[in-house]
This record gives sequence, C-alpha cells and structure tokens, in this order.
Amino acid sequence: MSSTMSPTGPQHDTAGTDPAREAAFLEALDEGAKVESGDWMPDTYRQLNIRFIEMHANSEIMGALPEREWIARAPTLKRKRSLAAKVQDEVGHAHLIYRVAESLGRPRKDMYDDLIAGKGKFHNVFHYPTYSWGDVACIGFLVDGAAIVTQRALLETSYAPYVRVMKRVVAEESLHYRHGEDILLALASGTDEQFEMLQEAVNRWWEPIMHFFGNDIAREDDPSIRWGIKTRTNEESRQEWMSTYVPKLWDLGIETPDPALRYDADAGQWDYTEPDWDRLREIVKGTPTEATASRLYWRQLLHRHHDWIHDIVVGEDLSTAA
Amino acid sequence: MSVTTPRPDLDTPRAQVLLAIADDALVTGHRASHWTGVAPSLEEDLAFSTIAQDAINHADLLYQVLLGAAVSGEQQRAGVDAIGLGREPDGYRHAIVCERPPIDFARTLARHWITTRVEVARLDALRRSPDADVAAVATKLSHELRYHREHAEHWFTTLHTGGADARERFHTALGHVLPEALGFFEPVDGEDASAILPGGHPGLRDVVVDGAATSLRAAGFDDLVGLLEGDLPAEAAGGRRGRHSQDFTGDVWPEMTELHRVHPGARW
Repeated sequence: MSSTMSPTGPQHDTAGTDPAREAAFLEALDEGAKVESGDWMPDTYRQLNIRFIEMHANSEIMGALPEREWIARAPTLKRKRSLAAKVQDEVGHAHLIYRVAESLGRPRKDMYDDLIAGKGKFHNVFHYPTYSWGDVACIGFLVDGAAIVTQRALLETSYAPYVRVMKRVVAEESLHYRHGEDILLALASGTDEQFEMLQEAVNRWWEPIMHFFGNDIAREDDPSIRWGIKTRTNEESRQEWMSTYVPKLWDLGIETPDPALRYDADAGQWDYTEPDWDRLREIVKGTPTEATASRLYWRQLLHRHHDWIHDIVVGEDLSTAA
Repeated sequence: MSVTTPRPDLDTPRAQVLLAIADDALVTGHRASHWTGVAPSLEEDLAFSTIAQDAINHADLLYQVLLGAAVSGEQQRAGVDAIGLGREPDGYRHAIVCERPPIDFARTLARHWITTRVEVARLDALRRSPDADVAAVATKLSHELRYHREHAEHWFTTLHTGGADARERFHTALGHVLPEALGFFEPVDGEDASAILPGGHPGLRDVVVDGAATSLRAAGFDDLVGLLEGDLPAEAAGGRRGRHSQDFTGDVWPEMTELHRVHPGARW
C-alpha cells in the first residue's frame, strides 16, 4: 500500500487470511489508501478485484464485437473509419485492463480462454444483437455514456494499477462518447426513417441500460464498496446517468419508453419503473443469447485456425487479442 | 438541410485511373477491417485496424481529387460517399484480388505483402505525375505507406523463417494470391492516353515483379517467381473494366453500400 500504510512485505509471505492484518487493511482503505500489486492484501480483496477487473476487460472485448459488425456496413466513409478506430481502442483497452488483473495473479491466457469458451462474465449490454445503424448510435451514446459514468468512478478505486490504466481509458472513452453523440445527432436530425431507426433502437436499449448499473444495493451491503473497488452505489451511478442522458434524449424529441420516468425535483432524484431483474440474471448467468453464442462461435473458430500464428510470434499462445 | 451531391464525370481517362487507384484502396480497407476485434494477436488487431483506416482514407482523398478543389465541406462529403458507396458493382475499377475474402491470416498477409508493393510502386510513379493535384496527394500518402511496407515485410520474413508449418502456409497463400495480383497491372480504359499515372498500370509490373522476385528468391520461394511472370488467371481478370467476382457483387458491394443505397440523400 502507499505511504498511508506501512510496508507489509511481499505478498506471498503470508496467506491473505490474517484477521488482524485484514482489519488494518480495511481501516487503511477507509482512509483512502491505495494498494500496489506487490503489497500484502487479503484474499477477499484480491479475488473481488480479479473478478471485477476480469469482467471489465471481457466487456471491452465483447463490446468490440457488436460494433465491429457495422464497420463493413457503415453508411459513409468517414463513419467507416471512425468506427474502426473506436473498436480498435476498445481492443486496446481490453489488453490494458487484462494486465491489471494479471498483476493480481490471474493469467491473461486463462481469462481469455475462459471468455471465448463461454465461461467468462461480461456486461449484459454486450449480449444483444444489433439490427440497424440506430443500434450503433445507442451503443456509442447511451451504452458508452453509461460506461463513462461507471469508469470515471473507477478513478477512485483502491487498486493503484487499475487507477493508472483507467486514467487513459476514461480519456479515450470521452472521445468515443463524442463519436456516439455525433452519430445520434445525425440520426435525430435526419430523415423520418432515420429518426424512426433511432427511436426503435432507444426502445430496445432502454432496459439493457437500466440493467447495466445493477440492482440497488445499500452501500453497507455492497462488498465492492466495502473493499474499496467501487466508491458509489449502483443506484447513484444510474441516477447520474439519467441526469446526464435522459434530458439530452428528450431535447432531441426522442421518447424514453418508460412512462413512469420523471425527475422528482423535491426528492432530487429520478423515478422510474424497476426493470425486470430476473431477466438480467438470465442474460448474464443463463444460457448465452443467440447473439453471444454466434459471436463466440466465430471467435473460437478464428482462434483455432490461428494457433500457428501465436506459436511463431512468441513461441506461446498470444491469444489475448480480441 | 439539403446538400446537392456533386457528380463529376467518371468516364474520362483521368477519372478512370483515379477510380482504379482509389477503389483498390477502398476495397482493401474494407477487407482489412474484417480483422478489427478478431485478429490473432493484439498487435495485429491494431495493425489491421490502422491499415483499414488508412486505406479507406486514401480512397477518400483520391475521390476528393476527382471532385476537384472547388467542392468542399458537406458537399465534398456527399460527393465522396456518392462515388465511394453509390456506384453499381460494374462501376468499380479495383483489381479482383482486393475483393477476395480474408480466408485466414496467412492469405491476408500474403495479399498484404504484394498489395503494399504495388501501392508503393504506384505512389512512386504518381509523385512524378504531371497532374499537380495527383502528385500532391501521392506525396502525402507515400509517408503513411512506409509503415505498412515495414509491417508487410516484417511478416514476410517472420513467416518464411518461422518454422516449417508457417513457411508452408505462407507459401501456399502466396501461391493463391500472386497470380491474381497480376490484375493490378491491367490498364483501365483509355489509360494510354492518360498522363496522370506515368507508365500506366501495365508499366508498374516490371518494377513490382523485379522487387518481389528478389525477395521470393532470397526466401527460397523460387518456384513462386514464375507465377509473377505468368498470365493473369481468367477468373481474376477484368476488375479494371468493372467485371467483378461474386466476392464483390454478392458480398463486399451489397454490405458496404446498402445503407447508402437504401436511404438516398440521407446524411449520417
């Protein structure tokens, strides 16, 4: 840990289960201490971070796949380039973030192999099929907007290597957001068919985005907050997203599909219809959606066909690329 | 807001040559973007994404030359997309080798190697073009192409020295690609009369084949040199006249142009 806590020696000196050290560790976290990869840390902290960071990296890879489907179909040469550039960034982010998980002891290859074998977890929003250029607008504006809200919060996470990587990721995500906004504005101000295309996509993405932040868990009950990974509750993030993005949609004349959605000025918060949380559980933990199964199938096929390339590049499997 | 889409005359020899060069880049870029998100390594994912973006940008700049300096802003964007995405399949002038699917990474790298050599030779010629607009763009693009050239040559060496398996795969891939790559040297209609590409497309053949043959021999691929000195297979001929294979008419073209076609005049 950083200077706020005394050095505690190499991580493998002691198993990460010493109750006294764990208590001191938690106390230091509460005081805002940052943890470096060589610091002693409780097993729970290590495992929670690995799970969280692995899911984040997986999501960057799986998030690249729905958008890449549209590079070939982009409606202008300018959009074709900018979408390729954006997806390229996502792939780069995945690698940076996998390295953070690796610094906690989880090999990159294992994470990647699990992901393409269909055993890795990733964000719900990347399980869905895309139907139109309106989906590209929604992914770029609404989904990336939601990602920015949660990723900015990670600048305050306790694991220092993660913070360093997130500084760069968040800077690039802001560019992605502008790319998404630009696509959205073009559709919103375009022909009636384009507007309709956008409205339909917003209707499709509404529930996935409400799901994205997770169900409302009290601060004291959320292990990610207790262990200093997250600093804000799911509901705080969802509220922030709604405050930032819903008025923008409304300004453009786009309808939000939840009739109960309104800002309660007295309470200082948004009211909305609770999404179906069983459906979220089914998406994330159940049988892969058709879109996910098909994307993983192609990913596996390409992977198997290219073992020989990994062998000659570094003499080992380099397959962490998405 | 409605923008009048400029429609330059594409039937002049000058326009036909520019289309051939630009369409080679556009279709190459379109196929390169296949690897974005799914390449066999991070480095290659990033590399082919960059190649895709650069190639599409090269096409864009050349379409801009076709539109002329007087066309700018929104009008220029509309004009570029009308040329790039708005023609019928037989209006495209790229070599058929560009439209072939990526197949696998060996095939992709084999095509990348010979295509980059053609592009380098062509830009060298274009930099000497008496057409000042064309020469200026060629000079600009040459700088970018240096990195693609290094990347392509790096892989040529890596694969032919990378053990029996990789060498065999690359040899097979080059065997497929090289005969079809002769399609790059087909002339477009009226090319003899056009002064913008000194020597014309047929004139590039000697330069490219000399250089490629030297590398192939140095790699011990002597048996492949004959392919470059042979004839263009009939199934890969005619790209410069707008004859394309099912790989273009049934795959690249419908996918690449659909949104543009279905929503005429829309801005995106």
